[in-house]
Amino acid sequence: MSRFPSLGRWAVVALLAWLIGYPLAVTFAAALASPAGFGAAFAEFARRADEWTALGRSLWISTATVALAAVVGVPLAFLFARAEFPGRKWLGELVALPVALPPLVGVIAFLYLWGESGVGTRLVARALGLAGAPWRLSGQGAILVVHAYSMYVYFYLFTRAALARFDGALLEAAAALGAGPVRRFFRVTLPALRPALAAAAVLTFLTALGSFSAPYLFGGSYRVMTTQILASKQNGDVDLAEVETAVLTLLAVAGLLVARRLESGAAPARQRGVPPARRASRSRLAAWALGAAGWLLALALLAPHLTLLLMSLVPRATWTTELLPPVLGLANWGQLGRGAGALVPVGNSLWMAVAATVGALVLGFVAARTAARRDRAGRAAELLIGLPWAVPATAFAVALATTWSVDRPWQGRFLLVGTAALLPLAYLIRCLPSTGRATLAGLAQLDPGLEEAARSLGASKLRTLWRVTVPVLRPALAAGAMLAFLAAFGDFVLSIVLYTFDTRPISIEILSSLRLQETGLAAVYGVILTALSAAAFLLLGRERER
Amino acid sequence: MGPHGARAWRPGGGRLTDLRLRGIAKRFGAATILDGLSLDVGAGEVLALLGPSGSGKTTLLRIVAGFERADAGEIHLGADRIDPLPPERRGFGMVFQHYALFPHLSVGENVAFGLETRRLPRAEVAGRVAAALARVDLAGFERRKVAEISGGQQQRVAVARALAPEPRVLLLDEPLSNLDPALRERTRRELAATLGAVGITTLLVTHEQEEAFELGARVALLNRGHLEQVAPPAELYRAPATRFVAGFVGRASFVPVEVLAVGGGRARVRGEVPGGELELAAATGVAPGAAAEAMFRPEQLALLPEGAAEAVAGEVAGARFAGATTLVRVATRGGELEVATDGDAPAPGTGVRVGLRRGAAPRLFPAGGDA
Ligand SMILES: Nc1ncnc2c1ncn2[C@@H]1O[C@H](COP(=O)(O)OP(=O)(O)OP(=O)(O)O)[C@@H](O)[C@H]1O
Ligand SMILES: [Mg+2]
Repeated sequence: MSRFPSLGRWAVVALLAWLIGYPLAVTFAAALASPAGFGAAFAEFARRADEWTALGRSLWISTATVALAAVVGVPLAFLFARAEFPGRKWLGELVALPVALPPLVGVIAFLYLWGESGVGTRLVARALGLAGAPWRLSGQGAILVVHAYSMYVYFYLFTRAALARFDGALLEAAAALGAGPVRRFFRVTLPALRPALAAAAVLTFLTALGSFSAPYLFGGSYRVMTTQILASKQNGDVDLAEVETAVLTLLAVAGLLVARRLESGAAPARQRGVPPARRASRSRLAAWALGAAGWLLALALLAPHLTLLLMSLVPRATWTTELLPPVLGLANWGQLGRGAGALVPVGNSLWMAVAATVGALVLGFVAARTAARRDRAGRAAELLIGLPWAVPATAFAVALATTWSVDRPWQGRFLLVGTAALLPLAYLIRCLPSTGRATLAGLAQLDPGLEEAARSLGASKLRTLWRVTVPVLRPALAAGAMLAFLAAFGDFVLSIVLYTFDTRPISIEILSSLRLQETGLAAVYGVILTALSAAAFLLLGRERER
Repeated sequence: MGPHGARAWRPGGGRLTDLRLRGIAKRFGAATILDGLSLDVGAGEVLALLGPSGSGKTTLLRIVAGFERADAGEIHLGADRIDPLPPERRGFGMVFQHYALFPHLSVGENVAFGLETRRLPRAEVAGRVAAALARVDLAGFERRKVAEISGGQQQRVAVARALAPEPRVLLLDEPLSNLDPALRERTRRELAATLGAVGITTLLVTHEQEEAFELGARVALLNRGHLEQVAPPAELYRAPATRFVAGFVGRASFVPVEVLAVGGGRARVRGEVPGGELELAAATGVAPGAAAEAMFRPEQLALLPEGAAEAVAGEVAGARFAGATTLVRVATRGGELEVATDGDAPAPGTGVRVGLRRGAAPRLFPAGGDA
């Protein structure tokens, strides 16, 4: 086991607390001690009807998202885990893709496809013989559709993983004891899936609670907490923004605690054996139909991103009322080469994401080493690395902006707002749960005998770390690095609060292009973001499987 | 590695050293796991540490290896005191229960791992790896992946890896427990041969008596953190020092008796024993009037013809065929006796008489010892 001396372990905890817990604490304190008196801002918050509405909507949207995502994701997982049809393997991977794509890009792609002048909308309107769009992509309906589209993947992946671990002999045993298919499903399969479903539900709920891109772009006047925070901040109402941040944070942490309680009831039994065999459909026709349905589904899931690609090829102001764009060309891509600054956001996103990933890997590793031992320091470290995951990014961004806006070294606060350091630091903290938890999971499976064997063969601690621990943990580290990079590279929420002109990332550039009616250029940036994310997904994904 | 690490290596290189443990104590919270025990392993000797599950064997071995710190006590290797040293500077080879082979390295790289810190020329490392693998009959396996060899082969790689740096002491923690029974026996013989050929000071932990007896020149029996007896296998079997040893090593039946007289290491007892009264060797702690138990090995007892004197009456409760002999369980008024017989077992329920074989030496222990 790790033998970090106690002092070193507490130093790690202190560092984590300073980076993660301290900004939240500072924000809470600032929210309480508003200029109008202690707690005045909270009272103001409680008096305003629109705040309560936003709070209620946040909860409602999150709950509804969990239900919708489960309805899509769980049957899909069963289909791919239990049925056999042509193209199953490829489709199974493809269906998980939305998780790798930056939320903002997904939202924009949706807008281009199903928005009022979107390709899909035009096609449907034409088919129905309507003059205008049959729907408007705004309000809670739009938010929920986009959420379900991007978050069913959690249910899909978790359920599939659980089904893959599932011991088929359990089903056979139940059948031998006289249980029919329905009873088998409810008494055997479902209980075995419960931990996975609970984990997926928690992840979905917290993601939806912190979701910003979809409400920001589609919400319009339908405000949820995350958009409310940004609105307050941009209106200059900093006190109110801090209170909203505090409330949202408390809500998320409460959700996490409730979830922990629920999850702890269902300790997953260690499964052995092999999952039940995939069933090929009895008739050829059925197999064919399943395959066709699978492909259609995949196409539907990829359609938004294909639309994005299409839009990047439509020159500005060439497409008005036609069903399909009359002109296609590389004019938008050409803009990248023209202005000197056009490629700056790409470079910014890359360097900041890489720096954040490397930092999060190192810090996450040290934190996980500390957390792996179940003493007081270990538990504190585990709690702290989980925090940035539970707290909505908008709230975290406001907390960081509040804390690092003054230069008071004796308080452990430095002026970082307006410098190039703040955004990568925010990314790093945000990514810490990915790398930290992945490392922790790897460490839990690491045979402690390996490190002891290395020591007994004369290797020092450092050498053991380098020659044994890190190589053995490589798949876990790669998985963590992948998630971290994707989150940092595609980030929009932290960026919109914390960016400066010099550090503006791709996502911000997409937004400003949209504002300037440069839909084509926005699509170009979206394609770049997507392509580089997919490349990282594939590259690190391969590493992860070794 | 710095030169410091390299200098710390003091391989055996043919020089044999003895290992001495003095007053080793260890507590986990309120529980005393090791109770100040002392133990000597002679230079070149293989000592087997035997004991029931949870008796503290692994803990003791890990303290010797340096992975666990003792609360009290000293460890000496030859002239050096080594307990303050970290594991990597003790120069011990260790074979782990689950082998702990590095999954990301090949078989050859695993074996070479302990040689890397010593700045040897590459050719010499390769030569030593080849020699270490040849010693465990795995010549030519260098390039194989760890996951691609069988469990028995993995076990031998673990032994080769531990021996390659020519350590001063070899520590083995249940090295055979992960093998299935048939393979275990063969591997045990091979391990015995390897240890014999290398002639290294060895401390081996096991909870299997056969393993301890085949591999260990002497066996130390550990029970609840203290040593019950340290002796060659035959002595452990024939002259167990405590009731616990008697019960743990080999098969035995215990009969509660009344102690009439004690003297000169022998005692006279009365009870449900062959003949009603008996004189036998007594362990320490036996006193007239105090409760005591007589211990009989199955081969010390015999089924006698009906009406024989010097016997105790009982009824056959069951039998187990054990190859050369059959073990018959006979229920007497003093408890159940296990008797070895060459012939067929009488049917259950048959009345029989049990007597002592000629030359049999049963033993007497104070009753209520920890069993
Ligand atoms: N880290 C620990 N914390 C608390 N108790 C421990 C710890 N390690 C071991 N113990 C306890 O110490 C006792 C001895 O454990 P040890 O592993 O040394 O037994 P063992 O003789 O090797 O048993 P086995 O034959 O089952 O391997 C056990 O009761 C165990 O529960
Ligand atoms: Mg043990």
